[in-house]
Amino acid sequence: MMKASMAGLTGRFKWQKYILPVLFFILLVIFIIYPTATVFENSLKVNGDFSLGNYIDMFARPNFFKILWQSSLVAALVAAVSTMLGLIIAVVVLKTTLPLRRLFSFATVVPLIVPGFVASLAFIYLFGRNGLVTYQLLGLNLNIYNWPSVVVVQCMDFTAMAFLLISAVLISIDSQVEDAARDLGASEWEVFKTITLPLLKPGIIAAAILVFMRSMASFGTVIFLGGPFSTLASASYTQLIGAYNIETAATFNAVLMIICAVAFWLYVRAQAAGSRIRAPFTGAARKPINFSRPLKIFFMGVISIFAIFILMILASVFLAAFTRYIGADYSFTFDHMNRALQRGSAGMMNTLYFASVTAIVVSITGIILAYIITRIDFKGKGLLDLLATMPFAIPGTFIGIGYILAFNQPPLLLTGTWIIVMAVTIIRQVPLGLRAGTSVLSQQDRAIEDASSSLGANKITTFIRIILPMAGPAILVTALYAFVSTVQTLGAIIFLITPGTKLLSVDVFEAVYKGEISTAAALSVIMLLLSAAGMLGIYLIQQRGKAAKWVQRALLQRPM
Amino acid sequence: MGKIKWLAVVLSLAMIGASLPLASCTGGGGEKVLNMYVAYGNPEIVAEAFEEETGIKVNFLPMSSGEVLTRIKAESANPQTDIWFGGGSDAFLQAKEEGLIQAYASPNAANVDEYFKDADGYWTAVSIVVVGFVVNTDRVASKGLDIPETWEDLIAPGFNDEISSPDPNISGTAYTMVSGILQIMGEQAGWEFLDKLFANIDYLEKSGSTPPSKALQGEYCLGVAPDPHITIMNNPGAAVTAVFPEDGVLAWPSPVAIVEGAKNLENARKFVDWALSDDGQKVLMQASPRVPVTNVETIEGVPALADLNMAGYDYNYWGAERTRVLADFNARYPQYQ
Repeated sequence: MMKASMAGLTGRFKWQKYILPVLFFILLVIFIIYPTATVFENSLKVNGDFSLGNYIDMFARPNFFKILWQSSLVAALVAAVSTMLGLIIAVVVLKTTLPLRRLFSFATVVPLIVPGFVASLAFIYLFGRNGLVTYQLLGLNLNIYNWPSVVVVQCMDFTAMAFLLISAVLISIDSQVEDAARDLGASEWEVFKTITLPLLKPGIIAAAILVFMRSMASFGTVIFLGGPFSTLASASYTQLIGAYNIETAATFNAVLMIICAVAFWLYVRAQAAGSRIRAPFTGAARKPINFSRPLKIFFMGVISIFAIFILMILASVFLAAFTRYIGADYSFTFDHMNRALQRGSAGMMNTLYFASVTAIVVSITGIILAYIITRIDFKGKGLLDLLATMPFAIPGTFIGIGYILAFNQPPLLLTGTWIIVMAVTIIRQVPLGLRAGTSVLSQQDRAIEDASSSLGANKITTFIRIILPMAGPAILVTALYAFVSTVQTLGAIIFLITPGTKLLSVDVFEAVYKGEISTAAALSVIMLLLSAAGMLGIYLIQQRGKAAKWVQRALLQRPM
Repeated sequence: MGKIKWLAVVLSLAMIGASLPLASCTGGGGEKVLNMYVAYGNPEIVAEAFEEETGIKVNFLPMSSGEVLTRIKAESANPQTDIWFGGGSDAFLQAKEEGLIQAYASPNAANVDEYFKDADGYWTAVSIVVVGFVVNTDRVASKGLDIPETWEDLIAPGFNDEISSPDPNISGTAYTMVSGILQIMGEQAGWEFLDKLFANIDYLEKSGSTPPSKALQGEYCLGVAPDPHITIMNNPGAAVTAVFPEDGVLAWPSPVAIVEGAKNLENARKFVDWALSDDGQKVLMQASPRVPVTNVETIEGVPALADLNMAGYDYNYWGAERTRVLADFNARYPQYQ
């Protein structure tokens, strides 16, 4: 019936249904494929001529393979620990009746709004060689400038993502399956081990791969805490900023990109496997699992340490922002805040503006793209889907270098304009919008759309009058996530901003970089409040309805 | 339907919003605008004073001088900035060689000693950056050490793993330290000295501004730092002091230059003239209390050029030798790779 009416509608004007797909296709090629190709092209050039010289030089560096395996190893370790922590916290929060669950889930998501490089500074203050806790309280003389510190701070940062992803899957598990196992005589631990855990597996794998990719791509923590330790991302950053070498930086990034692409491919496979396993959500209430006492104590211990650690980091950021000089003079002052407001005002306005426009564009585009992909039949659908999901796999610095190289010459001369910054922030969030849109549309009953078509409405009318109103709240939540995400963006835009398009995240990074501790803290408090406002919005909408449930799973897969 | 109206409002707002910065940012060529990449402290003070004086609106973006070089190279087809203000002379030398900056003979450049400007007028120093130490007095005392006063003092065993230094491959400060020591002591004795110095340094920082902040936080006894006195002035009450090594102070000019293809050339020239004038120099001192290159009076906390035992660092020579020296450095100290 549906098929017939579609054929009837599109049979005469077959080209019409290709207008939007082709338009999106062109945009995505320009803003994703072209810069990506340019980075690879530059990595294959020495002084303008084609050559494998950069790769030969890179492989010949005494430290290249060390950096390569170090980066992968640390990313793998961060992925393993964060996923494990995220799993434990998700299980405790959603599957037990242990106390303080609300506090734990709050503490876990706090790092979503505290950038990693700010956490690094707070970490030094608390646990450094002269740290408040390690040295002044405990008298320890630890050498913290090495890879373990990077692992600790990154785990703190990325556990939030693992936690949210795993909880999203956990929520969708039907408790009836667990009850069936209980009825067959399984102990609580057996229920968890043989029923819940296997059902969670796709979520766990996806979380681990995502954390791995983000850890690979982040350079802030490595620069501030790594000491002698380098990764591909930090090396490409220092190559670009310190050694003034774009081609070498492009080569490092090309390698980084290849690793991330492989991880992304694994991720897509894991997702596909997951969607086969996942049982339809019946709406049955979640039932707690009654774990054994030692296990409960273990869970509580791990989570308490983790939560205390995060809350200490958060507290020290505020302390540094509002006291005269952290570590020496703890009298209250508003001076740093005033300076930050003065210095960061341009960045703040730009951030507000860019994040808002990005949020609106991404949420609307996402639902349109999703509609095209799920409801219109055309050739190249899979390719469009893949293209729109790609930015998700591309490391921030890679896309930054790609844009600076691709758009600094005619015909697309965009460097230094606000358009390029906007293009990056939007492109980074397109996968989010698309996933959210697809997830909303797949939950929606198609009977209403069919009814609309039967009554003679065309696709566009159906989209505007049926789809949009129904997806309203979900669109709003997507927009807010995109907003928070854009406020935090650093790696992708740090090479692209110009005097007129300065953003707050870059102000904070610079202040941290220059060791202006108090100003950096004050600036991050402002940034934190902006993100927190967005988060609060999401929370309020989620409280009001179940809107966010559909989108949650997709939304949490935020690109960096 | 209410929701559709609401969406339409949001969409149209977004469109209006998206077209706003077009109006504000481009501002038209030749107008009262000046774009600047800055590697100088507190650029907002400089921008404000210049705007007040001339009515020219300054858009500035702070970054390291290496970053400036990378960017003006990448943007050479469509320069995004008019002025490159502050940073290390080495990057300016390279920029001159690659045709990224243009010559301008400012009448006020006459106030500046030959030693601190380019012979062909491509750049002129607005101040100098001196290399010294930020020393944490508490930490030094708790380790039972004396405050070091010379380069020689740094190789004492007591300072093992107590010195923080940036990587000369990345930082102008560290490169000046390495090449300056080669100049003061001669290449052979210099490298031998550096062997002992770097034996005391556990790892190299990835940014030139990190070591002073590590000393400030009491993480290390000492950080090799550009303009150590500024760290002290910015953090009153902290247990730190600035040391200018008595056996030879190394310094390099911190220049201003006009970028090749600058879109607001007249304004850029006005800025160079102003920065080298007495009024401009006073403002620069307020913004970043560096050792000045003209006779302008210094404010409290800033050493005058005459009070320092300058080593006469040949930044031209060592700028040209950079690749060789760094290759030697990297081969000699593979532990940092």
